[in-house]
Amino acid sequence: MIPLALVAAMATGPSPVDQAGNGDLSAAAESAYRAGLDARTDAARARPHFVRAAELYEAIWEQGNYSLAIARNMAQCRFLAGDVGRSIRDYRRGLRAFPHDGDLRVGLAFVREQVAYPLVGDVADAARPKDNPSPFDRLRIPLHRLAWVAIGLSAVGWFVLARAWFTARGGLALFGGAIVFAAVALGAGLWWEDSRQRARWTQPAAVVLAPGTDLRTGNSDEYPKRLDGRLPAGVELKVLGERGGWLHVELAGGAVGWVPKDRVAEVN
Amino acid sequence: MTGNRFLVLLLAVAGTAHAEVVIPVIGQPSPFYGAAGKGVKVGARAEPVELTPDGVVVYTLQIQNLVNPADVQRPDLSAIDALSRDFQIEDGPAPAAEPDGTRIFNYRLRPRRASVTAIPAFTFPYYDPSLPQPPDKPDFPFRKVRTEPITIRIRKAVQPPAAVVPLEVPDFAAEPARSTSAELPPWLWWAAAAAPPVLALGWCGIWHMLNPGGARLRRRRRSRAARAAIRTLHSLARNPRSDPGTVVWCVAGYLAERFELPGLFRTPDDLTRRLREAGADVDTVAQCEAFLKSADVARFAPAPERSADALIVDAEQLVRRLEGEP
Repeated sequence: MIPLALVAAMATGPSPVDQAGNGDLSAAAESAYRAGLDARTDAARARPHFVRAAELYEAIWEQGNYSLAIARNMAQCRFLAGDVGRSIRDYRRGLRAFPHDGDLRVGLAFVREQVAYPLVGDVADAARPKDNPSPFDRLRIPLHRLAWVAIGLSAVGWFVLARAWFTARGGLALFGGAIVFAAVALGAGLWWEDSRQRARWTQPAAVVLAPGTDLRTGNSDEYPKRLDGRLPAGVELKVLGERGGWLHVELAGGAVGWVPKDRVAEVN
Repeated sequence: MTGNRFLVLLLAVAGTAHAEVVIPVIGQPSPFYGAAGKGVKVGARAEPVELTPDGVVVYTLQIQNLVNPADVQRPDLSAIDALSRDFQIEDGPAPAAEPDGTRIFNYRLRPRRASVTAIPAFTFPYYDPSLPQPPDKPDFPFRKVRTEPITIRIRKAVQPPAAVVPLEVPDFAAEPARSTSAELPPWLWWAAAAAPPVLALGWCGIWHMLNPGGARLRRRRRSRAARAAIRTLHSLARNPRSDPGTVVWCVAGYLAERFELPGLFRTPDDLTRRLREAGADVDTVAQCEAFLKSADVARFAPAPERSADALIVDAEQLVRRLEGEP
């Protein structure tokens, strides 16, 4: 049954973990976050608090506590600390676990706008992320809400079918069947979208951390540069392979090359 | 003689007017500033010697014992590598007054780096007219005097207080995020999706139980009639003065409900006919007819051979056989 399959897909995400399970770390992280917010009138004073909060949230995350709130806070703190590259990395980490969360997507879109892409040149065309929005993306309705709509339609359809059976009315049975069919069709669409999103966010990726990183044609500084311009911090890369401390990557625009592993953060 | 007189006259004139020293071109060092004199001294002083990286030192050269101070050119310090490497050099103000036989030159030196620690020594060449100029050593009358290097100290620049820049916090990050409804446990999604069909099927099942169909309704009626008949027969068996007619009425009621007979029969033949009309099989009809005949015997015979108790036992056996019990 498609609705059940849809639910199976939606349920395969990591189970939420109560932050209370990491009470001390979580409390310390939130405290550092709030200290940063309190000091926001002076960015130089506020940023160290956000760095500390981000490190604590990351520690919680790396213990396997894949909570949506932790993913958001981790990425937000990185951004507020001025680390655009790691912020994008953390938003992508969150989306890998919760591919349908609207807040993570909004945050990622915002941080992507802060990346200092050059206005002209080959890097400007090659490095900027390109998204192909699906019909569900254009609807701008969170997928879990659409799932509830599908479940609601299914409930109405099954109710009408049951009434049709009690009353032996063929017309009512047709109507109920049509509603159930609509629910199944919506569920199938959501299933497809869910699979698409998961594939999108779970592919091996990396984010440039150090501004001025060169994309080279080989895994050494002696190889010529693939692009004239240098990659700014925050550029997202699709990882194709790894060799000798270098990552073989592909930019959103299709340019393929190598970057030093120590200048990027892998999304894992 | 005429020549000697002229030379004497020339020296006499030179002795009265120092500025008229003739400095030979041959043997001149480079650079040479046109100074002549005997025992020329050069001194240097700097003020201040402790300054900030963007500060300026006023560097003063004082040259004494000159016989031709008016002819002495201003030394171009920027042409001296040792100085121009470490300092930007500009001319300073002219001195208010210079003693006789003395020249004073002021410069403004701006250190190029914070690591500069001294103003290097300055070498000043001059011509000593009292010294001979042998043909094989024409630079012999050209002498040099040096200043001492002057130590300076460049203080670290005081960092201006950093400008306070507020941090722009986007709205979505203005508060730490908390767990939301999006984090529903997986089992809840499963339950929500499975609930509609399960509830619909359950509803149908309950409705079916509450509204049985014809065959099932008949089975229930039969079952209920049999239970009622056996209960009545047991009650009659406990009564020592049971009437065989009551037993017959009990069985008749059971048969009427069991086979949905329209009304009660009056005679065994009447029952036989109605059972056949109701579709009962031959064996059932025969068993019922036999029981009723034996009941008639028990009820109406002058000296009945069978007691009411035996009739009750027969009745119960009949009911159980008809319900399919062995």
